[in-house]
Amino acid sequence: MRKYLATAAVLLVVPSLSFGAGFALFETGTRSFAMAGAFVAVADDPSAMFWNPAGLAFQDDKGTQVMMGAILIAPQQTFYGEPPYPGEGYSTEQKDQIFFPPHFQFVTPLGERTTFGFAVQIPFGLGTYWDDDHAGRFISKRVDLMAYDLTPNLAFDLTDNLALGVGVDYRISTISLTRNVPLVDPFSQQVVDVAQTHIYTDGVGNDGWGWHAGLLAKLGKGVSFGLTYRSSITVDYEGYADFFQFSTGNPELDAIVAQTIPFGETISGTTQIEFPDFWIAGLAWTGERVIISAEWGRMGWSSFQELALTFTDYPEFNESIPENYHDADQYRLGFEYRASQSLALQLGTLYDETPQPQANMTPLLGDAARTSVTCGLSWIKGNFRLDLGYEHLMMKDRSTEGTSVSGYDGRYESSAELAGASMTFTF
Amino acid sequence: MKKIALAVSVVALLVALPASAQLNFDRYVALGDSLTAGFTSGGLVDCYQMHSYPAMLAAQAGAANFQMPLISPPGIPSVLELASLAGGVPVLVPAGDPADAFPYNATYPAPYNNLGVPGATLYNLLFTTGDINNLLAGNTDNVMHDLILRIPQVLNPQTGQPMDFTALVQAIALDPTFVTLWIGQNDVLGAVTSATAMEGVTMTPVDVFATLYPQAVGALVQMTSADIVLFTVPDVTMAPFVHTIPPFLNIPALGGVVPIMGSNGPLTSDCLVTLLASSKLAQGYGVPVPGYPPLPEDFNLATGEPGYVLRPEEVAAIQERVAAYNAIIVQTADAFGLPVFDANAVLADLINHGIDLGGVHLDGSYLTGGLVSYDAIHPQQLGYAVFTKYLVDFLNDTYGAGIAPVDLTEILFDNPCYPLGSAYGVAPESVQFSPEAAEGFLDLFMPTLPQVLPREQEAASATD
Repeated sequence: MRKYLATAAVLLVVPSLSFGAGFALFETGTRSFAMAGAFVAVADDPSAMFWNPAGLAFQDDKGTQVMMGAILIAPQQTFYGEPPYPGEGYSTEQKDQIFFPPHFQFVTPLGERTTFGFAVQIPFGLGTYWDDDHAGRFISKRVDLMAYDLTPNLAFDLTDNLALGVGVDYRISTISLTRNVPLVDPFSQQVVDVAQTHIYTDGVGNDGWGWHAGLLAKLGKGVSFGLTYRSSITVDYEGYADFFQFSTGNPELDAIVAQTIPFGETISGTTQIEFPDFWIAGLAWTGERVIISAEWGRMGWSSFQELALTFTDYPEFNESIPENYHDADQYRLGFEYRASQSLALQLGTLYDETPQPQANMTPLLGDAARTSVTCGLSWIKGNFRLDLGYEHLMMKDRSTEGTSVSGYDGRYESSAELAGASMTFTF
Repeated sequence: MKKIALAVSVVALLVALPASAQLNFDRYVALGDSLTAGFTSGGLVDCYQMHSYPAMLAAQAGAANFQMPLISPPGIPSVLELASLAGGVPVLVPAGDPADAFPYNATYPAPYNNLGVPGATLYNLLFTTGDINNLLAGNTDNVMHDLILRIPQVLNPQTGQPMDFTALVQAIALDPTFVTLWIGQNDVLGAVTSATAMEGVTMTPVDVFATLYPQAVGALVQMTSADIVLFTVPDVTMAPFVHTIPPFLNIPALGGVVPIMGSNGPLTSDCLVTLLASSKLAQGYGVPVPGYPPLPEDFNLATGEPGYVLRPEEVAAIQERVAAYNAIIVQTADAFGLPVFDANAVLADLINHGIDLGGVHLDGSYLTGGLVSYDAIHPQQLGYAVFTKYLVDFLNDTYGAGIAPVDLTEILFDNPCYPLGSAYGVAPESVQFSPEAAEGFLDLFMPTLPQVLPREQEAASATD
């Protein structure tokens, strides 16, 4: 019995990692979002604190800026079963969910060559939510993960054409996961659901520190080069697990289960997640009315090879499971056309590899490479700017092809619609 | 060999099908023993027989007609169930009176496609017949062969002379298009069930196996046009039957954990204790205190009582014997150009590491592992289904057979035989077999001397 609980507990923490690039969020400002995030060599609004903090140094002529907004994300995913489990003919869809990771940025010059910025952003977050009785309920019924970053930045214009930005990231993360606990019923010799477990963190103390730095160089003739590195961040989690017993219809079995699982008790456990580092490099050309930007990024998911979970009071639950992620590249292309002093239009497209091995796709996350097209507009009036953006994200259909390490084989078909809005005030 | 030669004439009357690049399941014949028959939880009963690996393979391959010696509940012998959980001690007993079981397909007018005979050795495959009338007359000396082979002799259509209708000859007579052969387990299993590795008694001598196995395969190759797949013999020392009860007792009055006292001295940590020892231990056997009887370690030839302890050297001898059999199987396959399905490797991986299905972990743990039945030796329906999955994968890889992959979903949540049995325990180390359950089990899987003949006797018998 306890081995199931241990597995449940571990897997409940894994999904936060298992989302990989698919769980990483890049929506920290609507204008950069509408340019598909091809912003490392542009970095000319407060969202530069995510894409390239050096860009703040070239914004000192704008005075103090405050930007805030949110990107709504509406994912869809359908799972089609394959043998041996859950088999051909089985399909299920995720329940409808809408996420709206917010962002807030504050930028102000500290002197002629120094700019200060502070941002609150969510670089990782999302969730999956399946029906209570779906075939993968022993892996996950619902997972939610959020990672909030508080990031102070300083940017320096070393010369008129070269800037450096550095910052610190303080990350707070929360996880909530729900799944059923299976048991081979010794009475019937068939699998039954004996409990539901909910593992969660409260966010307090589940934190970690990281840093980032960026370089932005104006090479002349409107061409700029940007380079950013965001460090990995290790978050130590203290989590809890509660259990709710299901009746199997057999009082004798239920009594045995009740003696084995600590119902009515909250047990504690710890784990550690190393969020990946992130390299970004790109070029942009800025003309009188047009910006064209291209960039490459790599997230260092290869650091995520396994996950260890420790239960202080229940050491028999301790477990380490392999993940075998690999680094994932992404390619972004953005375009902006300034139609007038008050209106600008954006377009973009991106291709994002998945770090998740085929065998590791589960109801926690069935990730795949994705392609996106984006568009948006900016309306400027005086000291106020409104950005609106939209993204259609298409994920490649992907099957485990009988390789699932959790024995849950099938094909995932996924897509997402995203829409964002940001407001910027300049003082 | 005379019998085999006679069988040629039977086959000669049938038109051989041309060899096919893909497998033809029109007449699939499964030869073997209890593992082929679908023997589960100490009995042979229809709801489990229909989930034997040959039945599932035939279904996946779309075989139109796959006949089995189906037996109604509670099975022959009756499958086991748990009679009591009092005190947390699960006690296994027969689910019913096997006299209530009925072989309702016994009048099928041809050999069965599933010719797996529980308890059969390699020798039995070649030379043992069965007579349903013997069973109907109340004689239980050869139950499984009587049930499954039914007709002891048939007339050779060419000579008009009677010939023994053994499992091998029945298979050939069906003019099979595809044959699986999984034999050899009972040539060594008795060493485990009796906890005694005894040459020629509980283990078939290697030279006998080396003689008989190629003969059986050769007959199939020469007298049929079937595609033939040979299975390796599993390491029978892997069975939970000898990995559930530890070689020690926890007696607080003696200071905690103490080694069981065997008839040859205290058991060491690498000794294996059979599941049947649980009843003995409950009676006080093995307690390392003067006045308590030691746990009998070895088979008692005089009384027929099994031993209960395998010493490390016995385990090694059994494993070496299995390895020798498998070497012969591989050599035979090479000689005839046949593929070998490494059932030994598949079962070892399943028992030792298990398989995950949608977050459900199944392994060889007794009672709660999901793969092994209550007799602790044979798979249960889930175990057979998972085994069939690997077999289908092998056949598809080897032949490009295009057999539909096995879907384990339904069987994961629905035991076709439940609630035939009623309840099972959760303290496997203290499980007790009732005397009736143990007796029925032992009747089938204890060694019987006539089943294992030295080479000269075998040769004499073959020329009778």
